[in-house]
Amino acid sequence: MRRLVAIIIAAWVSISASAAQSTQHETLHLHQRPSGRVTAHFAFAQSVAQSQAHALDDIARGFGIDEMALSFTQGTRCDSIATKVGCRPPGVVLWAWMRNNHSLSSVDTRWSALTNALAGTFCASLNFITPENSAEPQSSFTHSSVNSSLSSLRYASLPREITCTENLTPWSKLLPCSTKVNHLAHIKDRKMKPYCILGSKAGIASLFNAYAIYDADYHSMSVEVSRKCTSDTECTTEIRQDLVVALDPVRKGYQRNMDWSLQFLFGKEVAGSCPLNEIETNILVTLPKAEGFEFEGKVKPVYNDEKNAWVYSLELAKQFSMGVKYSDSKPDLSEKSKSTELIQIHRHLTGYGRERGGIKIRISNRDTKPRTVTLLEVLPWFIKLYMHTLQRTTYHITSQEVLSLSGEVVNQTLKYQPAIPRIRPSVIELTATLPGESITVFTFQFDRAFIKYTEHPPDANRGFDTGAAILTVHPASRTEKEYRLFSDVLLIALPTPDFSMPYNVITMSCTIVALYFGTVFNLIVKKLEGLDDSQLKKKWWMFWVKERSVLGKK
Amino acid sequence: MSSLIRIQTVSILLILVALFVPVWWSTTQVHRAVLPTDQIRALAAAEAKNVFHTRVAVRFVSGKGQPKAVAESLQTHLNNLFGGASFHFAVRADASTEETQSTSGLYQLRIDCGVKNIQGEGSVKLFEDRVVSLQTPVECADTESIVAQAVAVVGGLFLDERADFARISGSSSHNNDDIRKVKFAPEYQLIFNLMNADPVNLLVSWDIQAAIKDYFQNFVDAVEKLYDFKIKSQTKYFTSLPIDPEVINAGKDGEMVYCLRPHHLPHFINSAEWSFGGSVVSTAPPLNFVVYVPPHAQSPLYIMGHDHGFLKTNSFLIPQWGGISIVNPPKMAPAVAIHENGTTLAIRNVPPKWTLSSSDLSDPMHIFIYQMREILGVKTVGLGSTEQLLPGFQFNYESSSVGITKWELDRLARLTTIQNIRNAVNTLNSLITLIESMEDMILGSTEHLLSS
Repeated sequence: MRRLVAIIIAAWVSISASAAQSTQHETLHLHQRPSGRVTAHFAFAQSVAQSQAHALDDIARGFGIDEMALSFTQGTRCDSIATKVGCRPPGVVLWAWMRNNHSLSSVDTRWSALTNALAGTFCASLNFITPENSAEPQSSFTHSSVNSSLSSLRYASLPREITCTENLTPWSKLLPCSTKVNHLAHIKDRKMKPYCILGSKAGIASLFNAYAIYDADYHSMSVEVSRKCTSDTECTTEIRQDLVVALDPVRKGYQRNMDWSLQFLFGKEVAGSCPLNEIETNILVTLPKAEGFEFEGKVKPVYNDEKNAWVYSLELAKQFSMGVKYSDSKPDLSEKSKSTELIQIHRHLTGYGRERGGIKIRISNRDTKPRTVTLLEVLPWFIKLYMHTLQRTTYHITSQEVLSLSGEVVNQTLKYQPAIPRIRPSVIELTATLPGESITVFTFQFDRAFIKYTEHPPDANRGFDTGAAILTVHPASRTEKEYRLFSDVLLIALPTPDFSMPYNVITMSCTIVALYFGTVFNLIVKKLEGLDDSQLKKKWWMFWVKERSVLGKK
Repeated sequence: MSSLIRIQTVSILLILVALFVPVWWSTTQVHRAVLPTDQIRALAAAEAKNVFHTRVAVRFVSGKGQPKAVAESLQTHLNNLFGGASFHFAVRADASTEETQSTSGLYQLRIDCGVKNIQGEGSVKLFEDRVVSLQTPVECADTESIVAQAVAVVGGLFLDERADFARISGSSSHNNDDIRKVKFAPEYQLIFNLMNADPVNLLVSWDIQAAIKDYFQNFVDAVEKLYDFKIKSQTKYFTSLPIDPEVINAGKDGEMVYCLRPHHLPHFINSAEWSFGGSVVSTAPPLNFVVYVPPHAQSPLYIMGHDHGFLKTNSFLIPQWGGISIVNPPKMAPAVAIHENGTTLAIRNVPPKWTLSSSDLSDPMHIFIYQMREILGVKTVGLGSTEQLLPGFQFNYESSSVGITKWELDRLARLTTIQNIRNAVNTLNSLITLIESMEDMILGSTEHLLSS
């Protein structure tokens, strides 16, 4: 993709920018599936030169980062066909390759400084990433461009972290074309200055509408930073920002049909292209049907065979809107909407009760040839694993008969880092070969730890979220690239103590002490004297006094 | 109860109280480490005794005259003049052929005696690198009058500084210069910002690296021993002002000119939208210098001074923050870009581009250097008091090519030192006052601090 872009630039007749400038590029891809759901993928790419000031460039340079990826996701209904960057698990996922000998601080110190700096930049509580939930995977992120002898990898995830507009605003401020809208045309009439919560003056980022994005079934906001150094002093930082939103026009409209438009989904129009882009900005639209629809809007798109999409180009300073209307607009909710990925992973808990349990990971390989995968599991320390219970069973995908493994398929490598309570998590990296057309099931058992009274979260009976397992699929041939799949997030309920016990103890002891003290104090201090019968006049309610003859009288 | 039992009970109770109350007292005492309070209080008094030892080297250019006698007499007179406050002078005589290197704290006085200028009087010239030359019509043998003139020259150079030190060490009143100055830090982040208000109609870029290398780098190198600067640049787009400039029909053909009055200027910076935060990684305070290019709808934009005339420099300084310079763009026609799209040629609108080259930026850069001097607190070294003592003399000043002369640099170093000492003493004293006022506060162990 980058080479194609470079060729287009070289063929231009226009004024070229100097080498020290930063360049940027953006694309919007709208992909509608047969079920009616539209996945909008905003992709922004920037490269920042050496002397320019950019928050992510400062962070990358200050902490010696070679590559870093951070994603904020909410929702599990991700369509993996429609998303080019892949589906991410809910919550925050962060991994970074850091140089070993940068400045004088160790990788661990810089890792915690990095999480705090990112927490400040994105207004998210990333400071909860501590050594207690960080891992150093050995064979899962084998990226070709980073030299693993010079850099170390750190990975952490916070599955319970919620994303909202508060995170989207600083994220969109990192885009060069993004500021609050402040229309210059109305400058004489100050009262008419329109005001948007966030967004930009131009480019595809002008579609950002927090109400639409955070109403989506799935939304994921990610940043990838990589530094490329041609020499020791000349380094450029490449920043990729992606926002994936899965909107559902069938749910949103009253007609419950598949027709949609940008105004309908986002409530806005695109305010022209961003003037900083050297290459033209394209909006690609992929539709589930090949015919039986028509495009609304002033501009009509051009079909591009290679990308299998209809292409619109944005013009400078011209408002843009488009829509699609179908002749038969009923959504197709059948099996065709389901994912047809070759390799899929599912993970769930087994067992019952709050004392022990098990985890079952099911990986299916629909491909005819065997594939090598690496499964990375980072489990918190309060899940006490029993590695001797790790079992593997392989079934055929359709006939469900158990396959016996032979040949190269038997090769398995297990790297296991046992957990140290309150210091580090347990990390399992299992490299295995999946036979063609098979389902492989891994199971293992664990005990649930009884954690300290103060370590429980506010809603203790909800349980703890465990980060997703990462399945790295290694390339089968030279032309393929490795890719990653994320499994589901597990919710593990730990045995909870009775939180009212301290109150009960205090109340009971105070009561006992008070009763005891009162009685003993009275006994010590008060002098008991008997009453003379002669002084007592029996009243009508004093039933305990015996009638006595007083001086013989009755 | 019999009285014996009563006496026994009460006495046992009293014995227990007498035993356990001291135990309770000592175990519930707040741990307070011992602080050197007296030493800190004595620091304030010792501050007045801070004295800069300054060396002066006297040289007769022509070789005639008695440098040693002049030097001794000059030293005595100068120390009498300053009375041991703030400055102590050590004057030595140099041979006329010796070239002395310019080092901090060593100043050279070159005396050229027996020379008359046109009016028959002498002249004093202040060179850039710590040299002052005195050309006097008095004969070289007349040591006393030469010494009198030399005292006027050298003393006059340092009298202003002594007044400054007295003001700083004394009361805490601030004048405008103090408020303009940014707080001292050994490292600053210098960020040069280009604000492009309307990139859709004009896309501005600048060759800032070359401009910094041509104009600013020398200044940065000159103040190297005091400050470390991390220089960065950035361009911000769609930056429109939060205020509306006034429209004036001025100029020929009644063309519209936009202007900003002085009361608009505090609201110029749109701090909500334009993020000037500095780096997330470093704690060095940021100084921002902004080149603002107004949109076509608001250009040409000028700043009006208090006297209702447009400012020549079209710039202004924000104290302790940085400076802003407005550069008006030329009118440019819309541009198109043509590129090959397979077999066809596609044409699309692109914004016209305007690049500010290093020579275009020379005016803003010079203004920024001047604003930088104001922000750092550089004070000009002049011979104001000398002019009164030596009437009829001509006074010349050599200006610096880098933006700061060595005299000014030394003066800045001394001023910063005195100010930092004052701040440190103030802080320590107020800390001690605070600690003494809160008697229940725990003070941790200070052993590791006192040993360092």
